Amino acid sequence: MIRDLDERAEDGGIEADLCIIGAGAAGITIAHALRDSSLDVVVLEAGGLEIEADSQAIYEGDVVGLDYYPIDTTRLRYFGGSTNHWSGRCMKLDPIDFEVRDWIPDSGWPIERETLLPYYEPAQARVELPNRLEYEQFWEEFGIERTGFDAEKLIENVDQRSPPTRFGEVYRDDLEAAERCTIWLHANLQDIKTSADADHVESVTVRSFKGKEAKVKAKAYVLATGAMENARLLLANRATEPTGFGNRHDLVGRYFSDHAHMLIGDIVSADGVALLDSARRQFRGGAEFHPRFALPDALQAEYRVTNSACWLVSELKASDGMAAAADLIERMRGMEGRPPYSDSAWRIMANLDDVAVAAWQRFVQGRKTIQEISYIGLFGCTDPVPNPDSRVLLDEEDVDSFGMPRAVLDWRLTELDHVSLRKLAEVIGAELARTGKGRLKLHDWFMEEPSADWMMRFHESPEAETFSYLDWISNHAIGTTRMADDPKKGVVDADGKMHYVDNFWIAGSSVFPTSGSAQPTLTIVALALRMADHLKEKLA
Amino acid sequence: MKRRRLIKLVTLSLSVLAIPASLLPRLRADDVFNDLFGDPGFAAHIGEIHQAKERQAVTRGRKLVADLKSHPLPSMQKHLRARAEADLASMDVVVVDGWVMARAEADLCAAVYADRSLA
Repeated sequence: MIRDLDERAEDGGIEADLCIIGAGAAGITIAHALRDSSLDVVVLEAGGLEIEADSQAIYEGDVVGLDYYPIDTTRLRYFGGSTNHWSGRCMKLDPIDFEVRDWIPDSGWPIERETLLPYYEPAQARVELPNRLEYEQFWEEFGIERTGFDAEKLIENVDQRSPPTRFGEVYRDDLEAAERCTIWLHANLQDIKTSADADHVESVTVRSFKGKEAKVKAKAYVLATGAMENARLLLANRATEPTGFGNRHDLVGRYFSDHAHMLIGDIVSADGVALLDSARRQFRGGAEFHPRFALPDALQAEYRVTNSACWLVSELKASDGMAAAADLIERMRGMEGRPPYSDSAWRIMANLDDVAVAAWQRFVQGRKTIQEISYIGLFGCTDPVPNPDSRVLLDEEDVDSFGMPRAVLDWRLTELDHVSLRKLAEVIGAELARTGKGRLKLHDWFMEEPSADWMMRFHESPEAETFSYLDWISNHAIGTTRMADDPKKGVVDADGKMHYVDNFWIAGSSVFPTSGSAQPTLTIVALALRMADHLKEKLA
Repeated sequence: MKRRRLIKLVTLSLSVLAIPASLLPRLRADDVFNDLFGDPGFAAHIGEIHQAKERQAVTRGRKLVADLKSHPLPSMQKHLRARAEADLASMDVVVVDGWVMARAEADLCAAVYADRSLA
């Protein structure tokens, strides 16, 4: 059931077997996976069912490192969390992302990819991916011609797009109907009460914006409020540990990362159509796929670089009628936008002549594209190097409406992030030239001396203005409570349980030790499903 | 650049270049660099930047020209193409003015630049 803390009439505390703090992708996945178990589950959601200004304002905070979007706009604080605005792109992490690489400091997960593989499949179902193909099956299945790039130089893989699944909408009915699961709205975590040694959580206290308060007592707790908020809540809870709960080794908040991604070069091609037919976004089998390039493991090791990725972006010159036709096709495929269709249909009718010519080319002459290409660019995405200096801190001079210090983001990148992306771009440029597919001209700002603040040069470049519609940040908050076997190297263990504490787990991308270049949501959900299994066994 | 103007430029430059225009880097028939390198000014521009970064570039470029000239004209292109493809395949590439290119291509441009300077 779903209840509102503001409307709670009962006195006394709330009791449950499991208390999940946060109803985003991770929290909802765990609650949903356990809804038919024998466990009594409470989910504490700080916001309501819709976005509310006073709740969202809690996320306000300063940015003191590299340029970042205002941190109250990169995440959402209501039921469903940031899945209420995610774009839906999904990809599994690669095997190398889990490995210790001696050229990347603090790399390596305490679990192997094989441990997570059984959970990726159901995770794909939960984010409603219409197609479960592995990368290598994609090309053959849909008859897409490959670029011809040397497979020993470049891996061509794909990410796939979820509808995107709004977890708060899709799983709400099931959770509402679950007899042993209660979701409390407007329940803002305030205090985590622990034993004197801080090795056991005894209860947590939540408060609403209208001043209602409740103590929640459970056998086990899962913190799942996102990488920035997980860090803030732990750092701000200093009753038993002066530097924050779980922070005895000064790790909470550190290793924050996000996928910096930006346009890094232009591609000139004698046959851009052929190039894009192999390497641009595709709609096949009811799904949207996006091909991308990365270096094979052996080359990453040889060049001592990270697992960054690149993909092509393009601008298509289309008449209004053709643009409307493309728009209509996308809407009908349910990938982007929603009805009404009348506007598109009218524009097609008004430009029927060029639509008819293009349809003839496409369906009679068999030409693969119906639009003219005006620009092809290379987009680069980092696999950020784990960096302890990149972090979420507390702003001791600025508190939220509950009196809790706000978060401050000090996001940093490293020189190796720049070097890695450059190396990948060079290989792509070489393969484009070798195969005759095109020539790559990297942007001036990107070719300057490698440095840790390389991304800032992008903001000063002409390309940043020309392509201002392209993001430079992915809004993938990762790290801050990383996973490691050694308590001196991570906040949680391989199961996501906080070191030194017997009943407190952390879920979400905050536990990722490294980011890879894959979008994190699918892995967040896979890890959450694994945690649900673990908790079911642990609490049985 | 319009093709007619390009051809004029190439023809004009033939009179001052010791390096045959046919040897300007042309990796493949459909390579977009055909148009770019068809302009000796562009090749020289690339060559100037490249030789400033790599001192031996002009020497290597001239050696490459000499080597190519030892082949009959029809196969010169083929040899150059093979050389550039080998560089690209072995990742012996350079980035000049942002362009990712085979070292042989850049060296040849350096030789073009040096010849134009002398002329």
